[in-house]
Amino acid sequence: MKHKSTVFVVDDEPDVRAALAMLIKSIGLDVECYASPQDFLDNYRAERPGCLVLDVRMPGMSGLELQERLGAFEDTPPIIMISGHGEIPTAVRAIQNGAIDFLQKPFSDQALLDRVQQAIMLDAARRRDQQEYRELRRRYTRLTPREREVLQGVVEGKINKVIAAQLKVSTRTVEIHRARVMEKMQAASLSNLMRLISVLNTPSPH
Amino acid sequence: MNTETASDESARLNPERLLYHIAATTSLETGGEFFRALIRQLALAINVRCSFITECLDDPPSEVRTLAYWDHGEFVDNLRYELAGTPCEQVIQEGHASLISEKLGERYACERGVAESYFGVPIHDANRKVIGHMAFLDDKPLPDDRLAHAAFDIFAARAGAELQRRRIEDALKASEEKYRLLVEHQTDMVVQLDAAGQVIFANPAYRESFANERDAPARHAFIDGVHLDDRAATLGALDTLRHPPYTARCEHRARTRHGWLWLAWSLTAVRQAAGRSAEIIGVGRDVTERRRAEERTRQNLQELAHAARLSAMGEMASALAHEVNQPLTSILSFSQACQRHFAIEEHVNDEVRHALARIAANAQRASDIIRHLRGFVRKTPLTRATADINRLSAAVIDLLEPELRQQRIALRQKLETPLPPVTVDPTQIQQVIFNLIRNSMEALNDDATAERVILITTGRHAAGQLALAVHDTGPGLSPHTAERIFDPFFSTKQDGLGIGLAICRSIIESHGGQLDAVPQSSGALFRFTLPVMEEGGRGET
Repeated sequence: MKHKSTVFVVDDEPDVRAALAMLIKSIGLDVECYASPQDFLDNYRAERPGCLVLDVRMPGMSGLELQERLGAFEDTPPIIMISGHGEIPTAVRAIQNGAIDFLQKPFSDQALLDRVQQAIMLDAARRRDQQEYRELRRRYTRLTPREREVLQGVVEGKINKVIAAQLKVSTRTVEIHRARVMEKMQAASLSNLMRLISVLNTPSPH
Repeated sequence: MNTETASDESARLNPERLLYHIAATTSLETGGEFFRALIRQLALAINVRCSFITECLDDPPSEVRTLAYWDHGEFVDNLRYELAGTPCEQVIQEGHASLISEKLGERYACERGVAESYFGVPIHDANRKVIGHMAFLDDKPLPDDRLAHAAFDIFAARAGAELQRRRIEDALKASEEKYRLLVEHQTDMVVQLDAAGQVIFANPAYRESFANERDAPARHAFIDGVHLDDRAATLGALDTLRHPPYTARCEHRARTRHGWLWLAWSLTAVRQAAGRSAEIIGVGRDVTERRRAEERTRQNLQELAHAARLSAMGEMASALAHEVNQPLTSILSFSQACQRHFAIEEHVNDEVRHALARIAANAQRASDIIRHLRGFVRKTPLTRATADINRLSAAVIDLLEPELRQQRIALRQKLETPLPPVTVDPTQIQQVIFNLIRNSMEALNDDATAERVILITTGRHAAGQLALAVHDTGPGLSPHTAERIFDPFFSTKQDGLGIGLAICRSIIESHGGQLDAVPQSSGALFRFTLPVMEEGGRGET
């Protein structure tokens, strides 16, 4: 992992920012505070891992609007919404838009830190998956068209003889292609290859 | 004809004696008896067989009716006859006496036997209009010198006066009867009170309500049946009757057979010549239904005001919660962060740890109190119903109508119909409309010179939106006011809390609409928009 995870806190109240920062630092996480959604957006870089602790009501752009804007990016960090109002319709909208939770202010340290840790793990897992996907994609693009045809047959569970007959080549040739596929995809076994292909076939996790 | 008769005749022809005699015998009589006495005396006085007196039945006269008829020494049945073809025709139509001394039969045919001579005298009313006549018939010639014309004129005048008196009396009787029927049969109550306020006459409607004996209402004070709380006002109204314009109105509750009823009285003092109030006529009506309707309106207003207060409290609690929760979040989070920080530091004394724990616990407690308060005032769940904005507005106007009327404010409407329905909490939207109209009314009352008009406009706004606007002819908003008018706790009113419009805006925004003050060249215009219900409806988000 290139970067350490950071918790981004966006709230217009300086004392709230400072208190949350102190709390989050107490479990050894990095914190960056922003006084407004615009401020955050101006400094946002998608490749930085972490999560967002976002106040709903702020002058100018609201937390919900920021959430919707971030939705347009590919790598949206997980968001924990916090609000002094706690209106149900707002909470529902935030969750529908993908927030991992909605905490009503004030909240206990444990509730926030649990969510923050959960969010960071989620973000890390997502980034890992994404990285793996990209790596597999890279490996796959190195296969020749013939190797991809053989791979397709293998994934469909066909034995070499059947693949050879379909492709009108010798069984021996299929065996050679198959060995190349295993090598290029860096698969240790047939079951390992099957897992890698299933990851590839799953749509990219955003 | 013998000498005795002749000497009698000469005696009778003395106008003075005739006058004296007849006046003496008829002076005590009135009405029908007077006519009979007069006719009989005259017949005897001028020694004719037949005499009668008539009154005209139509105008111009074509038919008469006899009021007394003397013939052959006795009264006979009265009759009515047409004037045409009789000697009476000339008398009545020309309006002066007419004498046919002899040979009457050659000129006229008489129903009651043939006569030789005829003498007729018209009877006039005060305006010299012929209203009847007296006529005399005889079987022998009637020489002109036997008749003292002047004397007949006097009797005719007397008969005319009597006839007129009778007619007026009849008319009076008819009118009294009509009046009696009115009083007896109308559903309004009519009472007559003496100066002391005792009921001395009451029509059946009153007697029925107050359960007195049918014909002889027990004398009682008018005030007796009146509710204790309303007595002062009623006595006050009776008191004002002593001064011009001698009329008064009052409403009170009265205990009737049908329970307590609200009665509205119109009272008039019947003054006597001295100008002292002697009697009072009162006309009363049961207005219980009207009072109940007014009461219902008042209650509706109170309920709406109550809802407004609750909503204001909810809004305030909500705003308060947000404001207070921010510092509470800092307190709680700081203290908990400190606790975590010190958890690993051995040297921090227990008292400090305890203090931090208490800070956190108390911050939590403060937050719970606020949450509880919000939950308490927000008890009524949000409702959503399909509604027509025109109908919501009409209901509010109904409520305010009495106040508008009282303050002489003309409320005009320009409504687009039909409008697509909206999905709203009807009570909340009505509250907004209510507040906007109320604000306009107050603006109009601040400005005494203004034309007092409030215009309500509804219609489609931008795509998928409706708008309702309230425009008044008041002084309008200054730029400074317009800028801040929606801020909570901003008010232009001396005793205003300044949350009305803030709440209205928050209500409209929670419905997905907008409330704005639209700048105007004159007056103030507030307009809100609401999204139109989409096809098939939309889930609440």
